[in-house]
Amino acid sequence: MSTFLHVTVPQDCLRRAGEGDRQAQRHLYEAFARPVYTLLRRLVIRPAIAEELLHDTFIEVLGHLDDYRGSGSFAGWVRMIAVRKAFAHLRSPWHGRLSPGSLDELAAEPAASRPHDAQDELERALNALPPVARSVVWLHDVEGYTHAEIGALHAQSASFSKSQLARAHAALRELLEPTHGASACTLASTT
Amino acid sequence: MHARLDDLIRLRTALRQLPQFEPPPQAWERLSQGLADSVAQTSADAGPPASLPPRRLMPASAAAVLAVASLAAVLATSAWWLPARDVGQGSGAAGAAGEAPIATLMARSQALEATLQSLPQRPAVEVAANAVAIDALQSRIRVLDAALEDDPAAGGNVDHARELWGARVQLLNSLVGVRYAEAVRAGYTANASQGEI
Repeated sequence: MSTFLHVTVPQDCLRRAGEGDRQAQRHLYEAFARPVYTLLRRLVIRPAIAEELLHDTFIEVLGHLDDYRGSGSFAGWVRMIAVRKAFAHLRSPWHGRLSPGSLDELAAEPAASRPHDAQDELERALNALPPVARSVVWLHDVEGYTHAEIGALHAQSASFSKSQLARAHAALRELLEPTHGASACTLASTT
Repeated sequence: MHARLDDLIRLRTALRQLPQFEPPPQAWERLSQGLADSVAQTSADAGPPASLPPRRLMPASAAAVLAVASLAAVLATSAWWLPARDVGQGSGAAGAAGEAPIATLMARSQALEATLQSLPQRPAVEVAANAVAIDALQSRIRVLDAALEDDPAAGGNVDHARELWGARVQLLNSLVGVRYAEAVRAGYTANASQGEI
């Protein structure tokens, strides 16, 4: 389940943050920084890019709190801004010309956040997916987006999202199968 | 059928259990500065974009000379990144770069990006002129990227696409020059010519 859904923010905090109260803005940042950064890392992989997008996301969130109408959850609104930032990056020629994430850059992660082996395998498999497939998997399976919503983000139909997801799942199964025995991520062959 | 469904459920469960990433430790300080800059920018309608990192400035040094020179060169050829209707055919350096095939320009662009990636991160304390030049170059590259996102070559406007890619190469070249000078000033010396840090 999306970690965004666990975050709730008092209305008073939102109001004060919108008025420019730096403490309230910091409270919002601290409430959402981890889920936003995690989402961005899952979508764009590279820590340096994710950091830039994290910054851009909160500049927009905190600078445009008046735009939040309260019709949906605030967490959902923040998440959508982060997703749009990530997609804008993934669509840019700048990203298209960059090589895949540097292993050195990924290895520089703080030790506390490194996963154990089974999760490490899953992370590697997820990172090995093409950006579009990875975004579909993450948004659908973890963030709970519908196929229609994902299709719209890609300027495509819901069917596009469904087919991408099916292919991505198959690719993940294939990537995980040879190295996993009886771990939590084992995916038995059905053929 | 059940086995496949079980696989899927296990996969989704495992994905949801992946650990979260910790945001960079100085991210709030940087954001806070960015918000302050954003407010100042709104009131003054000037200054660097809010999305750029805040920078502590110090008096200019010799490295600033290169930065200013690069910025001047970029500004002198700034018509490159304007829409096609604003750019005269074969004007200035654009004409020379425009003669290279798009694929070559894209490859150069990619190589320059790789060089940029190989340079160390920006120093915490910066020369003012470097910061201004880098901001200007990055802004113009972003404008070009936005124009290239529409893929003018696919729309049949190959000359315009070539101009844009040529401009991108020159901007990246300038950016590499400024970043390299900045890195050298900060103590970057080892195997720079081989792209190693």
